[in-house]
This record gives sequence, structure tokens and C-alpha cells, in this order.
Amino acid sequence: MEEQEFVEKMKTKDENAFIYMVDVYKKRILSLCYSYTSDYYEAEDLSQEVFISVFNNIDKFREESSFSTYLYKITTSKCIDYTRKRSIKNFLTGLFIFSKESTQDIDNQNFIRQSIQSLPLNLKTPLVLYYYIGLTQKEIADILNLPLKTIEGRIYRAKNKFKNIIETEVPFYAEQKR
Amino acid sequence: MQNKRDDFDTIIINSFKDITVSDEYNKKLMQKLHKKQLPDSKRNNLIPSYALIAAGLLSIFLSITSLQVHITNFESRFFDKAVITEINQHSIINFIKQLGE
Repeated sequence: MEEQEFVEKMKTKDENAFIYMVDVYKKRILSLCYSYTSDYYEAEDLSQEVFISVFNNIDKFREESSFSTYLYKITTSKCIDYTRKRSIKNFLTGLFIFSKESTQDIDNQNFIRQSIQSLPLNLKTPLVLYYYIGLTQKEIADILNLPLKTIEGRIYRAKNKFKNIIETEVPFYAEQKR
Repeated sequence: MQNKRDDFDTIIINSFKDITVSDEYNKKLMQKLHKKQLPDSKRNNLIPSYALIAAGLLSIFLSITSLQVHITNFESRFFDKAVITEINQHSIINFIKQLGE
């Protein structure tokens, strides 16, 4: 099914077209959400919220950009909203709970994901879209409504920050580089 | 911007490869979609908020009117009357008994 075709069908509230679209994008949308939540179940909920929102508001899609750009735009905005809500929640719970998560038991993949998650939002979003979703810098610029040069710079800075975290926290990488 | 991918690029890309979508994903999604479309679900979501508002109003009403004081007064007056009636009944019974003897 072509993009145009399933968009048109979704506008008529065709659930089969909706499921088709979900099957095409769910892995990438889930990965994108996971980079913000660090929890599979929360990422699943968030990604499902994105799909429901897209389906319910498909009439607002003017087809000025590609459907995938529209979908990623909604996803990043939902993820940023989620991060804001969570930072308020963490601030409030942090007033009463004084514990720090131990990083000793987490495996390598989780450690890398957490390192990416710890990056500032303006650096993390382009990095995730570029590496996980595999979008081009031009597409990311369209999604985030930013100039191409800004996106290039942010990906570069994000990667350098990530490198610093890895080299500081995991001495093995730093020694290998010498 | 570099063109060739280095070790760090590969690390970042591979870090999300083990994330898999659950088999129940579509089923849960459709359940959520249909739940959101039902008008009753919105009404059900409002019930806790209405209950909270009603509880607040009730506590304001109680504190303004000091209703609990009135209830306690009524309760103690009721018990007073009951005790007095009981004493009176006993004294009447005793009086009748004395007459009988």
C-alpha cells in the first residue's frame, strides 16, 4: 500500500489502513519513544498515544510534508511533553525521596541508552532521529523546524558529548583510543 | 560533519537494536483506540473528579455549619432521654412491686 493510499483510507477511518500504518512505523516510533522514557512499557504507551492521536487527527494532515515527517513531528512533540511532565514529577518526588539509581547492574546496551538519555533535549532529539530512525539531516530540519546547519551542529555536539560520557565512565574505550 | 561511520556511530545505532515490539502491541492499541472513542469512557473518567469535588464541598459545609457538633448534641440528648425513661420505668416497676408485697 502506498503512503498516499493509506492516508486517504485513514481519513475515512479505515482501521485496516491504520493497522497497516502502525505495522510500518511501530518499531521506529517505539525506539524513538524509548529513547525518552528508558522504560519499555512507558514507551509502548507513549507510542500508542502517538498513533491514536495521528488517527484521530488525520484530517488535519494537509499533505504539505510526507506522512512520515508528520508522524515523527507528532512523536517528538509528544516525547518532549512527556519529558517535561516527568521532570515536574521527578522534581516533586525528589523532594521526598533521596535515593540515587545504581548504575552498576545495568548492562552495556542500557548504559549506552541511558547516556544518550542524559543528553540535553535539544541535542538528544536530532541524535535519536539521525541514528535510530535513520532520517537525513534535511528531514530532521523539517521535523524540528530548524535550519540544516543547526541540525548538523547539534548532531556533532551530541555525539561529542556522548563520546565524553563513554570515555569518562568506561575507561576501556578511552584506553583503546590511546 | 564526518561522512564515514566510526565506532561511536555503531555503538549508538546498535544500542537500540534489541528493542522488540510485543506481540500484543496492535491488540492493546486497538483496545485503547476503541476505548477512547466511547463516550461513556469520558464520563467514567469524570466520576473520580466529581467525587473529589463533592467531598470538598461536604467538608466545607461541615466546617461552616458545625454539623458534627449538632449531631453530637442530638445524640447526647437522645441518650439522656433514654436513660431518664429507663430510670422512670424502673421506679414505676419497683413501686408496683412494693404495692404487691
